[in-house]
Parts: sequence; structure tokens; C-alpha cells
Amino acid sequence: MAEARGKIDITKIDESRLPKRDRIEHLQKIWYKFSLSKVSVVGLAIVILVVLAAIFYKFIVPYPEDVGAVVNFKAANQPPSMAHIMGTDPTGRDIFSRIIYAFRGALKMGIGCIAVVVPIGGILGLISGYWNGTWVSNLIMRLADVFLALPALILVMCVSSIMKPSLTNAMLALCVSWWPYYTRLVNNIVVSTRNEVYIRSAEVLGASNGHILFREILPNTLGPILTKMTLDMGWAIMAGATLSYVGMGEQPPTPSLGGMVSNGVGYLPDQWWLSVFPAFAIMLIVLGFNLTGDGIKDMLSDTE
Amino acid sequence: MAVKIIKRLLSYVLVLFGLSILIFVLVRIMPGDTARIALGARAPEYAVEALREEMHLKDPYPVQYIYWLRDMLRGDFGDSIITKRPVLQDIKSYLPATMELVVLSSIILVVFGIVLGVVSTKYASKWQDGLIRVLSYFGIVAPAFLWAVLVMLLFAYLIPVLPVSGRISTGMTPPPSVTGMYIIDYLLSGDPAGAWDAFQHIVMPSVVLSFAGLSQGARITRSSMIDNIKKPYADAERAYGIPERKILFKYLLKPSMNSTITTMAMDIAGIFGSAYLVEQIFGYPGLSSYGLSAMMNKDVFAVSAVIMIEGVIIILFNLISDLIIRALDPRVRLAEQ
Repeated sequence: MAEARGKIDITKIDESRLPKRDRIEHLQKIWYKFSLSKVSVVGLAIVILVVLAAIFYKFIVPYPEDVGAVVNFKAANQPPSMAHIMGTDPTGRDIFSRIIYAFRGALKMGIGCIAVVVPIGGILGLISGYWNGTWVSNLIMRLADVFLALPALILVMCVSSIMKPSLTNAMLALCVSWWPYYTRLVNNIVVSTRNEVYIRSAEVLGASNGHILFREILPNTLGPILTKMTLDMGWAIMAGATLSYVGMGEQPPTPSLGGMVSNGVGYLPDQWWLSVFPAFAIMLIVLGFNLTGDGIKDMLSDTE
Repeated sequence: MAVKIIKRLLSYVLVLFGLSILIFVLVRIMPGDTARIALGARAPEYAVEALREEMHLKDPYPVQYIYWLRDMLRGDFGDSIITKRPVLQDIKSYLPATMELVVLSSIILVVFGIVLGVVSTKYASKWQDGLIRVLSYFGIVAPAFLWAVLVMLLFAYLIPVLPVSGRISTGMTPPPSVTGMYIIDYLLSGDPAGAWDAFQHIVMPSVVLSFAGLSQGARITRSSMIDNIKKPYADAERAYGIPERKILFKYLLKPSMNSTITTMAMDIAGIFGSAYLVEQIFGYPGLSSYGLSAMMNKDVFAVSAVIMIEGVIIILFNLISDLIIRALDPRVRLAEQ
């Protein structure tokens, strides 16, 4: 079975060179498999909607000026109504507008971290898996162990409490504590594929280390990495919300989902809309990424 | 086998050593002038200078690290900036509260995670299974602090059945300290009413903290049991006429526990992280909310001590889970021989 999967992945690389029609057909097949699970499609739809809302917030949001430091005491603390479907905060800003804008920060947090963590963690994992047993791999994996010894959240909070609070620094803190998860994932895959026949044959044929690492081994790791990336988007957004809840993330007046929950907690239970709607917004976006990630996982683990 | 365990222990010691270097770099080198931070901006320069001397801050970093490690091994963590007391004393008074919370939510996590997973397997693809799977998504899609806020809104304000904050109601006298865990201490001193009061205070934070791990545990238990349910040995047991319930709980659960325990150990460690915010939201005076306020106030001694102590506890948890897996799954023991 493992051999069969290797073969499939090799054909997958070559597919980029196939005629266009075949490539489209291939994509259609992937989509068909993914869409077999309706729940995953719902998840993907949530993700797409949130991303679109975040990009085009100016056209969706009823009060675009409310995302900044605006004071409008006449409209302060209004419960949900037709004019403000999610109510207003103590300075009269529209909660719905602020939530949509806060999606931008949440997505930035997730995408930014993954863009940094996956290449770094992945390459370290490739190296330590390929030269498994040497001092290089031992050094990398022991270093990863040290970072993994603490729950990520503690490390993230510790690192970001040292730095000046901002979205960029929150992202940096997340990256510092997060790369080992990818290193370990890729390392395990590489170690288990290292002795497959097709890699041995590539070695016998005199392929360079670079070719074997990036053309033979790397494609095998992409599936699990893609799954983990999608699930981790949700995780990064939750971590970002946690940081902004304690004031270590995005700084006011820019709205952040965690920050909005935190500001609203003091007004519970009377002005419940201040924290409940942002809380639901966090759940929605994380749910979207989780359902999509699970869908990708099921799709990839299906034997043909 | 003994050699394997000793090797494992040694690797944990190595990790702890690495962790101490990491914490030293993060907390002591990065923030800049430690002595100035410790004494505050208004302290006179000669006092800061004296503290620098006392803390060996003028020595090169490796030497500083060795002094720091030596002091820590002796139990001297320095004085807290906020409480002005030795950090060790603070930790002694806050740690039992957090341990009580963590232990209770670990029990909830393990028991409900496994039971829900088994029930889900038993009714696979029926409505009970669907319900459990939907519910287990709830724990995964929201960070613990969010559940803390929502659960508090629900059970402390809308349906006021549980107290909002603290460890015991105002006016109650804390029990004579034996373990520091209030429920146990009240029971030891023969005061069930006090224990009930303490339990009411701890139930919301501990359920909230167990949520993520419980969901994850139920999902993992279900998927690994479903894998095993198709194996020939399960069919053989069925053919022998062994009741389905016994097959599920006795013969299928044990070999399926491997990945469940590994993830649960990670999730229990994660409880320490989530507790930072949850304790604060519920006004629960534990080590984690102490750690959070230490971080917010750049209390370098308290932060490094709290993180180090929690690191040690978490590594102990990992060790225990390793041992449980070995005890439960003979394949792991065989593979090593």
C-alpha cells in the first residue's frame, strides 16, 4: 500500500506537465472527493465567506468608520436592533462592523504564522528526518522537545509578555513556540518513507540529496502538512484571540475578536451582546477551518 | 525494560535542562535591565547597583545562568515584585489551588472523554454518535477562556445556580491546611458543607478547562476503536459469544487507548496553559492567574519560577502517561524486546 501511495504521488508531480484538460479533470476529481462530505463543504463555505468579508469589509459593513477610534455617545450601548444588528459598544460603535473588521486581524494572525512556521519547521523536519541518527538530527529534535515540553499557550504568552504588545509581536511569539510541531510531523513522515524502494532506487541512480529531499520525499509530506495547516489556522486564530483577550495582541482602537470579548466581560450580564457576538464570531471562523481540515484529512486518508 | 525507563528519565532530565536555558534566555536576558525592572523606575541607582551585584548581573551570561540554576535548585527563586514576598512562598500558597483544579478537570476529561468515545463507537453512525460528534466539535472550536465567559454568563447570571468567583463563599473560613486542596481539606476536617461549597466554586472552571481535551479524547477514542472493531480478534470474541459491552469496554478499549492516552496527556498539560485565563476570569486564586499577573507586570522572578514549576509538573504527567501506556498495551512492551 505504501508503495502504491508513493507511485501516486510521483504521478501527481508529473501532472503539472500534462495537457490542461487533464489537469482540470484532476481538480474536478479532488473536488468530487472533498464534496462527498457535506459537512466539509459547509466548513469551506464558512472559510470562503469569512475571507471575502475580511477583504471586502468596506462594502459589507454598515458603519465602516466605526472600526477606528470613533466616539458616538448618542448611540452608546444599544441592544441589537435593525440599525445595529449586533448592538453597539459603550462608545457607540457598531459591533457588527467591528467584528467583520476584526476578521482581518484574525486571518492575518493565522496566515502570517503559517507562512513562517511551515517552511522553517518543515525544512528542519526534512533535514532531521533525512539524516536521522546523526548529531544534526539529534540536535534539532532535542531542541524541538524543549519547546514542546511546555503547552504552546504558556510559551506564547511568556514570549509576547516580554515584547511590546502588537499583532506582529503576537504572531512572532506564536511562531517561536510553534515550529516544533511541524518539525516533528515532517520528521516522522520522512523517517518512515526514508527506506521506501523508490527512494533507494533514486539513490542508486545517483540522484542528489536535494533531488531526493525535495522531489521524492517532500511531495509525500504535503498531504499531512496541508491537513495540519488548515486545522492550525483555527488554532492560531484561537491563540490570537487569547492573546488579544489579555491585551497582548492587536492594540485598540483596531478591533480584535479577543479584545472585544474582554471589553464586554465587564458589562455582563446586562449588555451581553458586547462579548457574546464576538465570541460566536471566533467559534464560527475556527469551526470553518476545523471542518475544512477534517474534510481534507478524510479525503486524503481514503484509499482509492 | 528498566534500562528503557531509565533512558526515558534521562531524556526528561535533558529536556528540563534545556527548558531552564530557554526560560533563562526568555525571561532574564531578553527583557533588558533585570535589576531595574525588579526595583521599579523610581528606585535609586545605588539600590539597583547593589541588586545587580547581588544577582551577579555583571557576570557573563553563562555564569549568571549557573548562579540562577544553583539558586533555583536550592529553592531560592528570588522575591516577587508584586507581592514583595519570596516567590517560593507565593508558589506554595497558590499551587495547591491550581493542582486541585487541574486534577478535577483531568478526571472529568479522562472519564467523559473515554465514555463518550466508547458510546460513540457502540452507536456508530446512529443519532447518539452524531450528537456526540457534534458536541465534541464545540470543545475544539473555542478557546477555554471563551467557554469560561459563556458558561459564566449562563450559570452564574442567567440561571444563577453557581457562584461567580473565588474558591469559597465570603464568610466561610478556609479549612485547616493539610493538602491545600480545599475539598479534601474540608472533608478531612469533617466539614462536608464546606467541601460542597468549595466544589460548587470549582465546578465551572474545571468543566470549562476539561472541554477541549474531553472533545479531543472522545474523537480519538472513537476513531481508534472503530479501526480495531474490524480486526479479526474482535470478530473472534463475538463468535465466542462474549457480550458486546464486555468486548467494547474490556477487549477493544485497552488496545485502543494508546493514542488516546498520548493525546490526553498533552491535553492535560494544555490545561495548565488555558488555566492562565480561566482562573483569572473566575477570580480563582491559583498559580496560573498568579503567573498571568506576573507576566503582565514583568515580574521576572515569578514568571521564571512559575513556568519552571509547571514544566516539571507537565513532564511528570508525560512520564506517568508513558508508564500507563506500557502497562495497558503489551505490544509496546514486546516491541522493545
